[in-house]
Amino acid sequence: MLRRIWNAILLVRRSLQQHALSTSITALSIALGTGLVLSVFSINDQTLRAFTGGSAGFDAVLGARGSPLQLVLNSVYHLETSPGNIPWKLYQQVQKDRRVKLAIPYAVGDNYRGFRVVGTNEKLFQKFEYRKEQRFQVEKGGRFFDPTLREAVVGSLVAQKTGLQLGSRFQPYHGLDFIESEQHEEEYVVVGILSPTNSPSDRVVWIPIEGVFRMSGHVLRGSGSNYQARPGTEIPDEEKEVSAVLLQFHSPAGGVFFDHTINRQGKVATLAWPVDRVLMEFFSKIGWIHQIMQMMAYLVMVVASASVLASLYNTMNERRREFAILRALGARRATVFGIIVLEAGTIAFIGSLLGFVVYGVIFTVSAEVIRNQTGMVLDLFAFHPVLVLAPLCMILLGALSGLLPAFKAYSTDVASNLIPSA
Amino acid sequence: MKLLSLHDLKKAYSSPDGSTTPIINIQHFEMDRAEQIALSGTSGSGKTTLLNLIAGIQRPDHGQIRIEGTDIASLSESARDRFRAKNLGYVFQSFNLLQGFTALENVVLGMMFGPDENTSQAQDLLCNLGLSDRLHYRPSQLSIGQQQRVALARALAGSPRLVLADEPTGNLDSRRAGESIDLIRSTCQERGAALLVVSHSPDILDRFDRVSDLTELNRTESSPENSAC
Ligand SMILES: Nc1ncnc2c1ncn2[C@@H]1O[C@H](COP(=O)(O)OP(=O)(O)O)[C@@H](O)[C@H]1O
Ligand SMILES: [Mg+2]
Repeated sequence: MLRRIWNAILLVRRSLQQHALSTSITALSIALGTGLVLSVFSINDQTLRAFTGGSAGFDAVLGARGSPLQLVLNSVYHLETSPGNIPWKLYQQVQKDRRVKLAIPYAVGDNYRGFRVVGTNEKLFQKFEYRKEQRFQVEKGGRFFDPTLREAVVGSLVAQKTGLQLGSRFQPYHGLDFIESEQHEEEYVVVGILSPTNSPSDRVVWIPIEGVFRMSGHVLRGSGSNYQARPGTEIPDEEKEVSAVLLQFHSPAGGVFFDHTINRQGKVATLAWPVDRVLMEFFSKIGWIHQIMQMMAYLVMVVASASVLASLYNTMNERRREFAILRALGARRATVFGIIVLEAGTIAFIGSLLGFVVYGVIFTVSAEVIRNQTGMVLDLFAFHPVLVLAPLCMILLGALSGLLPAFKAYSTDVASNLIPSA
Repeated sequence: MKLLSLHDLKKAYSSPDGSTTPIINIQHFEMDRAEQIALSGTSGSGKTTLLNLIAGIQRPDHGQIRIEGTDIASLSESARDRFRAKNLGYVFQSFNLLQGFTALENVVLGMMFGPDENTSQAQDLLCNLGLSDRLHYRPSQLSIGQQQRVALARALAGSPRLVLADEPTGNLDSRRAGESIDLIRSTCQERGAALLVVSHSPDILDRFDRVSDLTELNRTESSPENSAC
């Protein structure tokens, strides 16, 4: 038995070598198909997990009246535009509530070279756990900002991409999109670089919320009318406003309560709660994109196996003599049949292995894009069942495509093909 | 028991015009173990067809082909394949070496489908035939004479009872043909294999003690082709 397998491998290897060019082209197309399927499934699964796996660290987001999804994307993931502001009073009210464990205000509106500048308070660094039992930490030599000074703490990706270092001075730009001419006058100094968190926070420049209020040209509308902060004078609470308040509750009951009072009864604000569900709904809404990509990947797989069929089938004529010789040496029809199916399966097998290389490339490129866009880090080596299933299916499909050529080999007449055709 | 006995063997081909042309019609033919026989016959007289019938590659229309008592004409195709792998060696007119394989691999192929396979035996065969330094050459890198010796080694690999050779020296000049037929004969003798050679070349036929004429064996009326000439 072992000898038979070994022999079959020798026969297959030699014939693949003889048709090296078509073998490699076919294997490459298989690699492409497999790699695509692996990437589509794995990347989709990991992004979904990254966004909905509780990595946000918050239970709810309180913000301007509007779409909960926009609220979550804007304040938790620092994507999209801000839906507007809510009065500081509302923040104070919620913060004092006994159901609330943690309330952190965000004020957005500026950027530094495309990275968001978010005004917040020191509780973000002291109390907030971006992942279970994990708080923000600054790299050696740094510290968190003094809320009364023009100091900034910079996310790891921002530091890496903009070159900001401890002690660097920079002036933020107005707006969420980077426009060179929109630079503010205020100069901030970097006092801390956050250790990488592999979360959206890596893409943020954190400054004291007071700094956002006082940024030149910023107008506060907390009281309904425009108010501009003046140096040296304290801003009255009723004039202040925030873009969002990120909330943790002591228990889900808190969520139920605020959902009722803010979303059902209130008219000024929206509570996005629970954060995970909001994103889940979003992902299920855009699920069709994944389905289309899936279908295209499947299609490439099918086309690849069709190319196995075509390339093998084309060689069957020139190989008739070879089959006749093997038969004359005592090989049975079934053996010749099996060799061709094995050959097809082997091409698919080699292609599948190469598929992991294709997967590696697609994944790495996509992961880099996703990291730059969202701060989420995907793990190339995370296991997903598709990593086993797709290559298996591909090998099976490949072997199936070998059936037709194999049948042609099977039905080769021995006597008439033993004579040289010339 | 005879090694080979043919009885009332008939084979005809159907021509493109629909008529059938009898090619083989042998009443009786026998061969002993380790015997060496040459069959003469003009081109188109059915020599290749006869060897294919004996090898079980083609099936007769009628009659028996007994090898060591087994009537291979009555066996199923896969049983004939197995029987051929175990008991027969075949040296083809054009050698039919597989181009993608080395000399040694070609010889190994000769026993691959039989009951036992032994690479060192394949190597010994090639060495005995003077090809020890050509084991890993491809057929295209070998001379005609060397290719023929590889084909012989392949036929002998797997220790067959009977070696069939179809104009084995067809591509060699007459001096080399003589040398090479001697080599075939002595090697078969050493290995205890009977040898049935078909040829139309007097250089070869002269070297055998027993020569039969296929046209005489065949009781067919001469084929239309021949009568037309
Ligand atoms: N498959 C076939 N169909 C029809 N005629 C055939 C076929 N094979 C051989 N023949 C004919 O049978 C005759 C004998 O062929 P063959 O056995 O190859 O002769 P030889 O080997 O003696 O030259 C030839 O006339 C040839 O044309
Ligand atoms: Mg012939």
